[in-house]
Amino acid sequence: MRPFHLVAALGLLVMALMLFSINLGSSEISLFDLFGTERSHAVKLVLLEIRLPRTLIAAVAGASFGISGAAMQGLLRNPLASPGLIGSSSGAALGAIIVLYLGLGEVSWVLMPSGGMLGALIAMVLVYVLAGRDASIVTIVLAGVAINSLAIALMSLILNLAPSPYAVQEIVLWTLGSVSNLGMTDLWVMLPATVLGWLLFVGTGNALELLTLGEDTARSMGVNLGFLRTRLFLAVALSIGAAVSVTGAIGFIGLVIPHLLRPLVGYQPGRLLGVSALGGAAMLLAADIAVRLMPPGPEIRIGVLTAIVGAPFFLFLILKTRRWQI
Amino acid sequence: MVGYSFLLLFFLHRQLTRLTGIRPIFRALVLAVLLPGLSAFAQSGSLRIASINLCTDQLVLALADEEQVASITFLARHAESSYMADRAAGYHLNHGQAEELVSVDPDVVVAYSYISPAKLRFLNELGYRVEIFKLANSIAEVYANIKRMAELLGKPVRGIQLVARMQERLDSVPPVRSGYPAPRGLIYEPNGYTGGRETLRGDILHHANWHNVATDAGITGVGVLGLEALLLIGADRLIVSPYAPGTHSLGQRLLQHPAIEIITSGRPPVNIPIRHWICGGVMNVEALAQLVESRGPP
Repeated sequence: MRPFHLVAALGLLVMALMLFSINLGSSEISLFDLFGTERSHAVKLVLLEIRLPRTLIAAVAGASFGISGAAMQGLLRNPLASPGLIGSSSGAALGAIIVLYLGLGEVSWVLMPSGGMLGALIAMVLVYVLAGRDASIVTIVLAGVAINSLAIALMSLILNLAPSPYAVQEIVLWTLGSVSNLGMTDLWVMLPATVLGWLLFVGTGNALELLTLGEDTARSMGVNLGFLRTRLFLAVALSIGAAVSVTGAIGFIGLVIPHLLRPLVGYQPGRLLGVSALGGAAMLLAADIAVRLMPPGPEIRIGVLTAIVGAPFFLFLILKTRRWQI
Repeated sequence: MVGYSFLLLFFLHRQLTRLTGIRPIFRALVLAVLLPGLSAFAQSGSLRIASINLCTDQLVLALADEEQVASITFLARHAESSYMADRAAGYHLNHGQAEELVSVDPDVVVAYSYISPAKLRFLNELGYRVEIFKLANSIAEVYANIKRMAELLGKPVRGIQLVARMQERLDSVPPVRSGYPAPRGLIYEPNGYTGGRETLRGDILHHANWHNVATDAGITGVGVLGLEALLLIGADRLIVSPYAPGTHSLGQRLLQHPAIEIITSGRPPVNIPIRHWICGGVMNVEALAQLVESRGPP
């Protein structure tokens, strides 16, 4: 598929999903009601204060998950590297939890995404140090599993010790993610760090392409690997930290989307970044729409759906890599 | 109880000896005649009660004589959730565990219907009489619980007096000025929980001449009202009761959603201290008075 066609198609898909998402909710209100005169105040509030932030946050967070997955897979030259597997998601959730439940979030809104970012960065660096530079798939996954388990255990510990009586029940929100009950303020909280992270991704495409030839070749062709690594780790930490501190850790988007799109961009990691962002946005929007189409009752967490799609895909990837190794 | 009876007997024995100077054998005979009557008195008179629930704690504290209180829960001492935190000072405190009661050896254990079957079985095995109180979902049921507790304690008149005092406050609630609609209130708690029909809070709202918006949404008992539904139904005031003020969680953050402030046109929520209506009892009239005051100019 030609690059322009792919971007246009994904862009249209995201737009369509966003429109559908805004039109969907527990009450029968659609965008057309904005132009009616009846009950216009309440209708406007529902659309602009509840559904719009939910839709925009799902799109922005999904894009961050998608682009981060593509970047990590390119940098580590490892098909299993993704925010969920190398610990950045759970690290971010841990950082955000520490800030929120200790009441630091009241001090300044900057602290929530900062906590998430710092947590993501620490987890990623730990996995990277544990696994070593030219790590095999198994080593990275093992290091990721260890850091993920540790982060989730610490999350659970902090929620148990938190003074709020509601804290313990909220572990599900942080480990499976949710975009319900968010407002525009949450979008403004996550946006600055997200945009900064996205900007850091811009222009790394060429270096990632050269990296596919091997580290030594890339270095000989002028790629400063240390700089690239630092830059991409920071970019992932910023965008995932900001997203997860608002939505919780939503898994598998960063794993599935780059894999699905890779054949469509001719296996070029540079071109994969942008389309993975669009694909990630589409996947999270679709998952959030599916959550709301379920029968009424306690809302199903968004991560449940991404995992139902993503986990079999993960197994498929493992089987595929195994066949290569035989 | 048996201990008290023996103390009483010992006391009588000494008094008999001092006053009459009669021989020990006769004293024993006199006591033998007195003994059955005494133990009957002990049974009917003042039972010693242990409570393992904050709400029964406060019924006991409101109605019992001091020496009747064998144990109450530690929650009764928490000023945030207990209306009688001061009065609860000095008593044996338990954490709702059956084994904690062995040392105080009560005659009766009182609990609310939340009690776990395992704990109930254990208490029965320990040989305690357990009285389970039903959660009060209306002022009328609060009255019933007060009267039942008063009778259990052997103080029926106190129960009747307390109910009469509460009813007096209820009867004195001024009506909403004619021609004006009742203010539309919505109890809103972290995670979107609200109280509709057949809840104590809903009933207190009703007695304070508020209109409970949750009933419009068809909510009976405790239910969840999502933000969208809340915006469409609308309310004049939100009524909040922070259970743990100064703590933070996502559930509590829901109350800061900008939509909520917009819907009540920026009017601040009515803040009822949780201790005034988390349990049924005399403190409910405080919640009532505050709600009446918050109705705004008549």
